[in-house]
Amino acid sequence: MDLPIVYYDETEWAKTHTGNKVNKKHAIAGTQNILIAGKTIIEEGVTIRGDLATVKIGKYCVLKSRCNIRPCMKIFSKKPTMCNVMIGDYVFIEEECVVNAAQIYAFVHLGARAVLGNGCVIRECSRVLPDTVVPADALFPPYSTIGGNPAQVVGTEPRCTENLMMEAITMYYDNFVPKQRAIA
Amino acid sequence: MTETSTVSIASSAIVCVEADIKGEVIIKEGCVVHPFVVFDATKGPIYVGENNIFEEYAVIRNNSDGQPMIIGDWNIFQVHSKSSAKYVGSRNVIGVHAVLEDGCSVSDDCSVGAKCTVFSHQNLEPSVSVYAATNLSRTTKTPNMTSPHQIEFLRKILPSYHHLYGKKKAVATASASAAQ
Repeated sequence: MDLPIVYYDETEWAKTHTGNKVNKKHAIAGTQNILIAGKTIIEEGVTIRGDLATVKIGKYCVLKSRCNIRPCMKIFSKKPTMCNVMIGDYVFIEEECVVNAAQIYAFVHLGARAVLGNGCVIRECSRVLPDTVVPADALFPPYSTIGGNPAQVVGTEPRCTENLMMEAITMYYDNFVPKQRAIA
Repeated sequence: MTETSTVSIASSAIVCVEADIKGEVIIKEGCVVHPFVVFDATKGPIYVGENNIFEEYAVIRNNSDGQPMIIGDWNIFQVHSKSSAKYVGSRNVIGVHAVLEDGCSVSDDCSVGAKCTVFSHQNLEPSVSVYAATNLSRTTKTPNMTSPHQIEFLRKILPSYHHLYGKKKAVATASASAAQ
């Protein structure tokens, strides 16, 4: 599988020394509480609510446009706490997802417009189909294909998902290159 | 574009400056409005009660001609919800991507699940929850848990990271670390 080369406009993107590429039209709040390991692509209009709690994002993640990462709220003995969000390595989040999850493990693919409820946990190598609504506090086993409203396990992912995701996202990152200046 | 003269926000309400407020909107004590919420009252006024939470990208739009839109107390409008109901009671939860169509009304203790729609002819009775992809509805016995702690937490933490609507500016992060 070969992914196409995507050109981006260098004036609209910021690149950090760890290799993150962040669109300048993001809506990220509380940047001091957001930890991104590196080589992550954050597209236009992405909202990350670092002001509510710490958000940790692993390396080689792709956050497509207009998705929304917000910490979940848990109420322990009447006192609420905003839980930290942890997103593992090689996670691909498609457009307009709303991620209220407590934890997303590595090699997960979230389909477009999926909604992850408050405090749910998605384990390794799972795939969430587009338009899925995952209920609050749900926990799904590794290698599950998750779909429907409310979400259910509808199948299993292949054992090689780890390699597939690693290869795909590495290729996506490598093919995401700045637009060449017009060659005279 | 915002006409500050017609927007009235109580002193204890927290409204982030990124919120887009148009027309005659009254927000009472203790409400929390996250960034990027849209209040569109160009066609008629919107009256918001006490202690409501509006999360990011929620759209509250009055589409009736001149009729006021009334929202009660202790409601939560979650991320990306769209509401143009003529009346919303108290202690309701409007879920992620949920839609309240023009002219519908929602009474008390209702919950509308993620991606569900309340159609324009519907009037939700008290304690009804709408859920699943096919907009099933049933009555529930447990009332919605109103969480004064949640709104208190938000009231404490939002001013330390966001500029507030009106004159208030973001203050030092000292109160933020105290809140955690």
